Amino acid sequence: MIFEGFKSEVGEWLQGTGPDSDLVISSRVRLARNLANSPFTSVADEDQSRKVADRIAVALDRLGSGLPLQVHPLENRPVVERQVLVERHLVSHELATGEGPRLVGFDETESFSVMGNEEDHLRLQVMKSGNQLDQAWEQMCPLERALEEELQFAFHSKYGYLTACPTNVGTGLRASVMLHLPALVITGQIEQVTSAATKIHLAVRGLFGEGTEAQGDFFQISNQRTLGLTEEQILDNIASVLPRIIEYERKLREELLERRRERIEDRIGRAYGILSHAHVMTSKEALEHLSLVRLGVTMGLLDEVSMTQVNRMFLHSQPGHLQCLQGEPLSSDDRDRKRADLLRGILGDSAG
Amino acid sequence: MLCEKCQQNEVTVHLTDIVNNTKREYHLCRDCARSHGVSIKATLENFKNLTIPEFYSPPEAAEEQSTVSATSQDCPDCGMTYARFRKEGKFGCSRDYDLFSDSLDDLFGKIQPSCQHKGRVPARFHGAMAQTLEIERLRQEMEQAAIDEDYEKAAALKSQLKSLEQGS
Repeated sequence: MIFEGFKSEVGEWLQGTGPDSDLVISSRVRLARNLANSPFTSVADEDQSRKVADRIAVALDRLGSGLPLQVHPLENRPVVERQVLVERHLVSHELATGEGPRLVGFDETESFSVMGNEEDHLRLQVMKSGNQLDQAWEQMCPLERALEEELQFAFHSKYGYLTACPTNVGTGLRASVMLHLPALVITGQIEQVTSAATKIHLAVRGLFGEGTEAQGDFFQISNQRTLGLTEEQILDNIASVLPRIIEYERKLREELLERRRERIEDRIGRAYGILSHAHVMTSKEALEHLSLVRLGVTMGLLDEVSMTQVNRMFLHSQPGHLQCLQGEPLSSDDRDRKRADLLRGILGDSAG
Repeated sequence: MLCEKCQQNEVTVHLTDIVNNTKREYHLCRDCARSHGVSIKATLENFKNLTIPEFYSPPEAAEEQSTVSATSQDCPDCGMTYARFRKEGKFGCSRDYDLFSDSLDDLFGKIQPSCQHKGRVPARFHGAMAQTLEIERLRQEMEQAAIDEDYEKAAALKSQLKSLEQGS
């Protein structure tokens, strides 16, 4: 089972370390690449997709001599395992639920991952904990070069790296940061941030990227433009707006403490109380309380909980992890009960 | 005036679509406009970025169009047609980029700052790309010189561009 292959309880991106980790959860860069002279995944037949997957597996094997990678075909994996990979942000929802030969590869820290036969033949990803977009990019560059030596990527002198979707063409780069912005949400200022980001061509999305709603005050900010800019310009654009969002959120957190300390302490305390005592909990509710508990931990209002516990609760309470830890598929009602058990257990560790 | 799509409700939405210098006007009721993905609020806020690829085409015209493209624009490698590309929003293979290149500048212009790649280049393209980028740089410099009314500089850059392009 893939789950047993993970070295740590949470991946690199959820370590809770790195600069500004009080509100920047993680930084991620993703490159889309296709193999030259092969049709893109959506029009390829089974045979063509198999060949692409095989070529990628061989290239990853060679890359693996410098960087040990686990490579797994996905087509015959149980649904729950694929869900776990999505929750750990190692594969996209599309790859997990897709059809035909496709694969995932990742290193033991889960910082670098590769998807084979997603919308594009190759999706390379580097994730780091905290505000480390530049470091993620630095880690990506040699890996992409090494793969390019093995596989010829589809490239055009005008349009750059060719991708299935026009929104990725050129650099094929999607850079994003995942932010926790509860004070901006509580004070109703989040709209200002999203509209400012949109004005400079950045997209604001939910926890799992494209097409997902923001849940539990977690937001993902990413570039929309990929062609006509250098990779550095794309990264700089995000880097230019990020310090202002961070400063804004921190200022509002201070103001909340000054003006509404009792109210905010009460909300955080109640969220902690529910997480540590409830017997039935949906994942949506868990995420809402976890957001407040996380806020409490970063503001120094909840000494009894550590960031490591928060991150473990955050990941392990999601449906795939919950079922994998339980060792069997669970109905929705059973999950809600087991989730509450898990959360009580993790928080009980600190009490005991 | 009645909606040209349903012929039942009063027209509340007038749209002008210009594609390849051909202007088309649409007069629709609110419901028909909405059912074709035209949000009035979004249009007002964001009319510059409005894309209406195929939001309205009468059934007969659509069929006609696809027969035309089937004979002229089918990709011999992956079978993609321009009509299908616009409908699904995805290319089928690398060759589509060249086949549809006449229409791509307009399309990319709506989401991308420029249609010339400026990022990383695979090692096997280094020589070719260096020249493409140099030509692009000189062209931008020439345009700026013209804007600044420095015509001598613009003329010098123009002849430099010409010799570079002929040499390629």
